Amino acid sequence: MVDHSTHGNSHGHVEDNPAAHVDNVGQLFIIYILIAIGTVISLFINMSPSWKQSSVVIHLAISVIQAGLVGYFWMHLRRADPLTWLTVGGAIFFSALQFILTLGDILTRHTGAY
Amino acid sequence: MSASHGGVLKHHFEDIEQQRSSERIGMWMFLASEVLFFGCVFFAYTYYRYLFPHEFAIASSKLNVAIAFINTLVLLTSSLTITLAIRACQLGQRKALIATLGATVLLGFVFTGFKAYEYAEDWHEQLVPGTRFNEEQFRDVKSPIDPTKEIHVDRIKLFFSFYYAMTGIHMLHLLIGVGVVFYLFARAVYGNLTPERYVAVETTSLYWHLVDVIWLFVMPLLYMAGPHTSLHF
Repeated sequence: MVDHSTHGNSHGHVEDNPAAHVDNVGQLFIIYILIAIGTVISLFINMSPSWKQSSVVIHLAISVIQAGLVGYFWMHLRRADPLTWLTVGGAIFFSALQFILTLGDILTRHTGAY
Repeated sequence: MSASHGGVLKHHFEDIEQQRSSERIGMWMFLASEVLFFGCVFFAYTYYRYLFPHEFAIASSKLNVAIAFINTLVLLTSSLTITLAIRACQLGQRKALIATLGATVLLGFVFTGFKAYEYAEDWHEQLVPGTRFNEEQFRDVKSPIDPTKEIHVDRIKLFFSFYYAMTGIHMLHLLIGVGVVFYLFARAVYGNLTPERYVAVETTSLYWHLVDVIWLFVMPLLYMAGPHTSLHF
């Protein structure tokens, strides 16, 4: 984690300053409002008279954006070191592998819903 | 600050930031395993939804989307409060730390309360497969996707099995999170959560946020697989 909350002094002694890297409250609230708006949009789409089965694509797109905002800002991925990104990327990569390969097999052997 | 950072620094770490990095990466590794676990559950759901879209849409329309919507906002607010708790801890603002951690615990209980109410509602509407399920209520129901399709009640039961499994596992994770945040709250009350120990709040918040993120996918997948025409309790 790249965090500049510690500083070496002239004696080589590490000074700790936890307050050096605090979140901006305004930014936290903006993220909160954006995620809440995404949820409201999802609800409106679901309650729309023109609801379609394909609406799930929009719902999931909204969820991915919301998850991205939570991860990047609230889980502090924006300040994360390469090892953390590798961990997150690994989890997403192997989950995607599961979906893509397995669904790829199913979708090419079944022509439609029962 | 003393060389041991108020007794926080363990002897096997070179400095306090190395120790904090280790704590963070440990939690991230655990969260990665959680993502893979939930990924399997989501995949199983996706597969059966692909096979039985008509029954899943009918069953989903029976769920209370109003409660799910409110619970989403409740969980989002709790994610905000726990993020504010990190800040309060870093700045040594003890009152704000106690307030934000207390609010997080409270919102966790609010979510649980709404979910319990929803489960009770499902019980009364006889939507619990294997225990209390009224098949008759689905006899003449038409698919919102294609009204001409024949509906199989067993597939509707399958949806509800997924519903209880996914929301139940999520709820279990949330309750564990409530327990951990309450422990932090108690530490804050007793003055044990000092600024140099802020990483305890941060790693707990990572877990809490993951529970939030999982819900952001559970909500549309389960509650919005079928259309809703009104909001009611």
